[in-house]
Amino acid sequence: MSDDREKLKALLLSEEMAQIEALRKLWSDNQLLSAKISEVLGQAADLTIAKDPSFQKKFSKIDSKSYVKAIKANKEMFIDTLTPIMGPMIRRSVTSAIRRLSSDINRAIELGFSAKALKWRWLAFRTGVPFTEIVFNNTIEYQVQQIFLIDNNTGLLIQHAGHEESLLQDKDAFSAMLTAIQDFVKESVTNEGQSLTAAELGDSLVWLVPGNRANIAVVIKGAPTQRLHNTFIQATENIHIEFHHEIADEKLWNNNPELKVELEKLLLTKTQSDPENEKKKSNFGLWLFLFLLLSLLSWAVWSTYKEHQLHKRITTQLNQTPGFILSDLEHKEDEFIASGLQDPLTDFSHLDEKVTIKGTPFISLDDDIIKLRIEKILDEPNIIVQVKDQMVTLQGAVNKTQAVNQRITFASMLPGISRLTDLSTQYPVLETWESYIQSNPIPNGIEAKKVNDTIHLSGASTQQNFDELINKVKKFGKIDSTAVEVFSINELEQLITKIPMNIINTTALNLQQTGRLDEIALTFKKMLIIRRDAKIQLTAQSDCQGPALISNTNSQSRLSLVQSYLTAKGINNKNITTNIMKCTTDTGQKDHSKIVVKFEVIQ
Amino acid sequence: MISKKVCMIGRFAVGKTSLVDRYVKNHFSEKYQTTVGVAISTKIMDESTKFVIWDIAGFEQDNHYKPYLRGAHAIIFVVDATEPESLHTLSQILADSPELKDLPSVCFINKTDLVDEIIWQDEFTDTITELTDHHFWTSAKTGDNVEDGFVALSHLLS
Repeated sequence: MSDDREKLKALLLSEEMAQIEALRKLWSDNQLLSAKISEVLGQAADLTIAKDPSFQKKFSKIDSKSYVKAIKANKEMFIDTLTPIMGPMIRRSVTSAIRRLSSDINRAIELGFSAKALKWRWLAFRTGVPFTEIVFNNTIEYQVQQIFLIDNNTGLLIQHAGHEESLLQDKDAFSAMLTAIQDFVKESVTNEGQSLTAAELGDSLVWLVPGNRANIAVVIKGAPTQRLHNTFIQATENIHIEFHHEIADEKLWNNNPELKVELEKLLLTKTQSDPENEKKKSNFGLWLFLFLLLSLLSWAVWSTYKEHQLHKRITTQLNQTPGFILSDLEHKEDEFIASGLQDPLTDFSHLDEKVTIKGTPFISLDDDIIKLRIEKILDEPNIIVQVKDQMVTLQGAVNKTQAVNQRITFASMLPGISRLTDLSTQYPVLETWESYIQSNPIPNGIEAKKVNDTIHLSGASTQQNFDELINKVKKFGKIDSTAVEVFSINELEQLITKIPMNIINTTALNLQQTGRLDEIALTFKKMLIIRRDAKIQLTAQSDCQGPALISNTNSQSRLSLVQSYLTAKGINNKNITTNIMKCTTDTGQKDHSKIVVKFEVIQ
Repeated sequence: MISKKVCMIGRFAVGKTSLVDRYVKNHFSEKYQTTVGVAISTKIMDESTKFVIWDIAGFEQDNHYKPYLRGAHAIIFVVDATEPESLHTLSQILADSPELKDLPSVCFINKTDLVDEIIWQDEFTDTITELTDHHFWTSAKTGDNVEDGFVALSHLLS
């Protein structure tokens, strides 16, 4: 039965069974299976990548272990392979490193002591980020302005990112021209395998980063770093992996938003400007904080210094204050409190600041305080007190009453005074009319009397005496001098002496002669008012006719007659002197005009 | 918009640059200025096509021009109607780069304004026909047929 079934199965399904057997054989034979899969693997991979570009990355993932194994197993082969390229690689790497080092050193020297470097050091200290890293981040001074992804076969632009307005040329023309230049350089200048990788355009730089199918051209303003270059190399590889399909399909060129976004990510000025701004903001905050901190410190230092200076100044002032011995000075709540020994007479008005004094009373023997003490006791502003080394001198003018003298005596007994010298003088008391009359007699011939405010003058006086008197007494009141007769001594003297009196008779005087003598007596009396010691000298002479004795006797008789008359008229004899011009011989000639008595005022 | 790489091919002084200037800038200069290497111009042909025109020099130097032809979408052959020898240059180029025959192309027989100097024979036209199916008698100086030639090429590419 089973055989029949087997036969039937073989009859009906022999072809299918053969196919299943072939498949089983294929499945179990790795070599056959590999050969079969390899036939479709390429096509399958392309389809998979087209559907899912990320598959490319998985597909191209490198298994480092396999490399290690391979190298270990075939050392010599790898050495032979790598040796020709190791030399140029090392040289290029060393050159690049030296260039970077040189650039870094220059930059470090340039920035080593600048304010910016100090700021970075502070930032490094604050954030914990290494200083070198901060310097690196801050010294990247470039701006990626344009990025072109260019098909390296046609030179046509695959995608562009950047500000088209800043391009002078059409971006397609730019791409084509760059490719043309690359081709030109490659063909004309460089060795095989090398191509143009950078070109300088004024202060801008164009980097050409080669890729398998497309090159990236980057227009950079400023001084880019090697790190940026590495970034673009990496970006080129990534773009080739992630946008493999877009790069391959011309229809998608210049119309691929995703690729454009990817390129725009490489416009590093955008991505770096924001952190820079943030840095600036944080730097501003830092600077503000530093400024405030510095201001606070400055204020604190300044305040301390100012208070110290104030304390010092007040201490000095208090130490120099007479009558105060400072023991302590405190500053509490905007107020200074000084404690020490204080004389009651101590004056604190000269202090600059308000100081509360907590003093213990004592008697100061300081010269200034002694001076104040004496001045207070004397209470005489006109007395000038000088104290030096406890020796006191009083000066000035004062009405030295008994009370004043007592106070001076008391002052000399105060403690701390070794000697008191009183050099003060009597200050004149206000003069009254009575005291003036007592001490200043009125000139002869004038009588003065004060009635109320008027001084009445009477009598006779010379003009000079009268004027002097008026000047002296006018300060005592009004002057009434209507009763004063003012005359001149010379005039009086002339009146007396002008005419000799002719006298013949020796026994009696006639009326004319007595009239003349009355006039002389009155005039002489006036003169005596002023000049009490004045004397009138009478001189008799004759014509000497006859015997000389008789002539002389007659002359004597005439003198006696005149003197007696003048005496009778009130003139004292002591104010009269007589003289005779005696005759010695007889002239023999009678001449009455020569028989005269002459008058003369002497002294 | 799709960009197309269009290469101008022809002997020196046949008027390649003048033709591009006439078409792109509508400008013509009597003064001759030789092109060094390559000059690039662009022209939007229509809503979907933009020409990136490679005005290539140096066809007299062996193979120096070849890198510039790489990836070209279309070719514009240029000959000088007054200089039949320029046709020979084109033949040499095609001999060196036969792949160009497969590309869409037109041929400008230029300098037709120099009527008295035109030296042309039917066999020359036959030769051109071997190069391309489309040729135009052009004058960069007057602008005759220049635009027509470029537009025709554009149609070939679309």
